[in-house]
Amino acid sequence: MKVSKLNNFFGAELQGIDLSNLKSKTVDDLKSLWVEHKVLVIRNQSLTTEEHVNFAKNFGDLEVHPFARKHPNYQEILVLESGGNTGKTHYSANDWHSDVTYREKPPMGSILRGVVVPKVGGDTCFADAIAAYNRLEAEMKAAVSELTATHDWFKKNHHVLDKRDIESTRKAYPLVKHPVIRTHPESGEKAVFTNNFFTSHIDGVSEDESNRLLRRLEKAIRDPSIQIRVRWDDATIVMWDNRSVQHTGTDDFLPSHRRMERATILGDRPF
Amino acid sequence: MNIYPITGYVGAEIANINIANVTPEEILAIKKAWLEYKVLVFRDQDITREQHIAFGKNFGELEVHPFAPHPEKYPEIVKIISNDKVQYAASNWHSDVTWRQEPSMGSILRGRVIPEVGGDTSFANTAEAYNRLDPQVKDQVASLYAIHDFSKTFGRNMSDEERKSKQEKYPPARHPVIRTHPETGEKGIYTNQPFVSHIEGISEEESRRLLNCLQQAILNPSIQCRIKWAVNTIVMWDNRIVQHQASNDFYPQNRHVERVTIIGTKPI
Repeated sequence: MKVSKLNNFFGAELQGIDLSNLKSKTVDDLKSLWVEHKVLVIRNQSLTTEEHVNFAKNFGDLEVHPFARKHPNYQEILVLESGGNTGKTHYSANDWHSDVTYREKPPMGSILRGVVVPKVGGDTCFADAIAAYNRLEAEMKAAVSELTATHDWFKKNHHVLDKRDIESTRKAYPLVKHPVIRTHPESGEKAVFTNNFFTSHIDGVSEDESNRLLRRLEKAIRDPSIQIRVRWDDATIVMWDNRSVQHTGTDDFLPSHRRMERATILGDRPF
Repeated sequence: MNIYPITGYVGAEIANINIANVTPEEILAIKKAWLEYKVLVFRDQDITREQHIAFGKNFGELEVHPFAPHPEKYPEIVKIISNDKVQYAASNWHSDVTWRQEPSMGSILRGRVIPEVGGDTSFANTAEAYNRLDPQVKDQVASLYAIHDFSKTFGRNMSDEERKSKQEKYPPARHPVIRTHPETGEKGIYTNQPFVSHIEGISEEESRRLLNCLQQAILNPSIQCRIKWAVNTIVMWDNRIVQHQASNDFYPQNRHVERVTIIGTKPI
């Protein structure tokens, strides 16, 4: 297996590996490469949906997403599809976030597969949330180190629910608080863990101060110096560590058809 | 010559061309592709400095930069060097020399020493950034002008005396917040963080709010592309309709790039 770094902080492209036929030693290697590089881009794979599910199960139990569209035969597979004849003319994963942070235990990672990939556009961008934290001013680090933030699914998902479902969903997924800066449970490194999709506010400070801090943290994530940009094809698998990176899709492929499938691995409570 | 777009809104790789020896037909094709894709990437162009300058002159007169260092005998070439002593990368989004009365039309940057990883350049399509603004913001900024001042970035390390004399020679420039491309007619955001001091004729607070809003539009990855460099990669961008930034992620490795800059016209 050949490992090429994509950036000095994070990201690696892997060649010479077949994900449909893995030895347990290779799974162990992948686990440590994943924590080390945070994002793994694996080219030249031709996985079926079932093989995708089986590959993901090497890394933990899989999540069944509460809101998003799922594969009819595989509840663990989330389908992200727009453009073409899908009737979906806009693309919504279009800002920086980590996945499902409104859960008490957000996923540890996601494994995304290109299924229908437009010729141009639809890249996924990743930001190293550890490098983003490391580059904050000392005062900013001190200001946010002990704070928590409230995360809410409502902001991003309420439009897919009926009014009467909102109340029951509120009960199933109450507001959660996570540290603003989380510590990676395996590497021990600290990372920015607020995002535009799901973070509603920072707890225990004024609204102005919450906005000011969230803007500063957002700016750290939006810095291309701590980012990589991954171009897709229909033989590419990308796996990211949701605890140490944020990501965003891009909508520049529309009106072309794009279909991706994601398996999401359950995680622990952030600390 | 073959054209391979990189993203939906900006950038194309140009293959099957030798920059050292271009025909007039190829220059026309490059100009056309440049206006369409705004950023062109040429790979494996092992050219001399004379050839770099000659290629640039196909597109207009070349600029001599008043502050940046140039290699001996080549005043038209701006030499940009980073290493373990100089941690330099123009890592804020900007277009080049907007503090001039007539900022450059475009730049042609060539990689000479490139770190194995890191130092990518990102580009943003300012026309698409403008298209995506709220109609309300579009209306608000439509007839506003911003003040561009070199000293915000280049004045930091100058003595008071030197800054004063340079300011006399390069007084702050006043440019429309939304610029119209003189050839395509596209409208694009023309404010940036390193050089714009404020928007004219409104309160300081409102100026800051609008500039921030315009900057957020530039920061959207959906209107960007990201170019990975190699030795003898040449990237040519249209300064009138893109902004760019270099990733500050490769210190203490060596990086050496050289730029020729095509003189432009007063923004309208």
